[in-house]
Amino acid sequence: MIAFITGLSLLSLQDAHTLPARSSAWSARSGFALLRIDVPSIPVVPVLTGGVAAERGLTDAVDLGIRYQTDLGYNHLLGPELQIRALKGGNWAAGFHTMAFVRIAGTTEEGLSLGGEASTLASAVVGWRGPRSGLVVGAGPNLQWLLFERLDGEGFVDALPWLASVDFSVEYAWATPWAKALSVRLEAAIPRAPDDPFRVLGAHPRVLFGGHFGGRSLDQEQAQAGYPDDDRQAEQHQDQERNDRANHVEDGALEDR
Amino acid sequence: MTAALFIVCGFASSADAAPIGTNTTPGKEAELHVEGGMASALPTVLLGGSLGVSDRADVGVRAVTHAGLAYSLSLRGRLRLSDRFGVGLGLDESFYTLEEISGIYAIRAPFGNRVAATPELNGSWTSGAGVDLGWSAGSSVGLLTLEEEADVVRRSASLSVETLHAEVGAIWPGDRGRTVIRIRAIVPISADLHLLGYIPWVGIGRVWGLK
Repeated sequence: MIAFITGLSLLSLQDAHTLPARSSAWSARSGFALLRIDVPSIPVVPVLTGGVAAERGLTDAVDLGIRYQTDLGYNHLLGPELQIRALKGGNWAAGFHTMAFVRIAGTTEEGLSLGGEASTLASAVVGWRGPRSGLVVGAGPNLQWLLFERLDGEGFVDALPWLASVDFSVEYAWATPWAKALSVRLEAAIPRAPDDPFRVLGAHPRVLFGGHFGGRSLDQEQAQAGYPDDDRQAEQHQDQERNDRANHVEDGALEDR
Repeated sequence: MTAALFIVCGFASSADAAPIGTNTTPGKEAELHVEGGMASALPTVLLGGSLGVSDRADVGVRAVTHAGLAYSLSLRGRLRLSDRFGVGLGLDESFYTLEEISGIYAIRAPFGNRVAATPELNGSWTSGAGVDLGWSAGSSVGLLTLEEEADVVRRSASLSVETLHAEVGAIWPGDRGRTVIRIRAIVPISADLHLLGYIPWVGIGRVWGLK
């Protein structure tokens, strides 16, 4: 059980574009991680994974949030995260994302057996936002500060810092009428331990599909930045035409009276 | 690890899945449900249909499989009490299609292999963005279980709360039906296996009206 806990990465690198000051947003993602298990007939197992996050813009360049993620509803990760936008130019932004988290899993069989870790992820992220879509890539180390487990009433703690993995991610998001954006995200955590039994092609890959709500929509981002948006201009033109037609009908009705 | 995945898939199959929210099938109309998803580590497929008894009540049947390894068949009735709340009650039978996997015998698995009642409380609301959302909370109450005695396998009455579940989802109406995304968390109660957590089930489905 503990090997499962320590061998599986749940890290999630985030966006480079921060929220406007004093605005809030939340997101939900779900997908699957691929694991290798010790069964010849089932070499790779997809494991249901996902989570939710809420964040608040402290300034236009700094966000503070909290994130919960899980694998199988069994492996739980919870912690605060901080996102800083360091550079912004045109459609591009670059910054840092860090998250301190506690991961825990266990059972109540024969008393309480559990294990987990306290770690931090510090990553560099670079993002691009177009008229109705966005792309963000990130990379950073996952430092494990504390590893703990309790089995059959006996506890074990390893407080030696350890570079557990290096995480990479790429996420593509697109605007929708009913949410800030939908997204698809690919992650690969490359564990440093050479004998990690769960690796698939040398990494812990994950695919996530997400919905992002609140904050400012991609359309609004573009309006704020003043980027041309042919679709929005076309919609505004159609709205104007509808208003003109409605006014024309109303005028006609008044004349009939 | 393998044992856990197997047991989990069998367990998840015991949870009935229904279109979320309080929207029952309109009176004298029928609906067809299809859903694909994933429960823990296995893909799931749901097929179902429902018939509107009145504008506030419907009855339906559903079949769920977890990668063909475990199945759940259910009958269900639902009643819409108001625009925001409703109730449902199902009768669900689940079973495995294989006798043994990796040394674990299905008959001895702590989940599935039983007939259960599945009472449920449903709710609906609309988000600020105009998305129809639904939730449900319910349980699976075992009525009959398969038991192995010597060389004989037989059914025996056994009343116990096996699981509790909570579910949230979103519904998008379309021209020819509704698209549904739902996330269910299932918490084992009576089984010997007690994890510090829950069994997740995510599904993306479609409901077609058949007038």
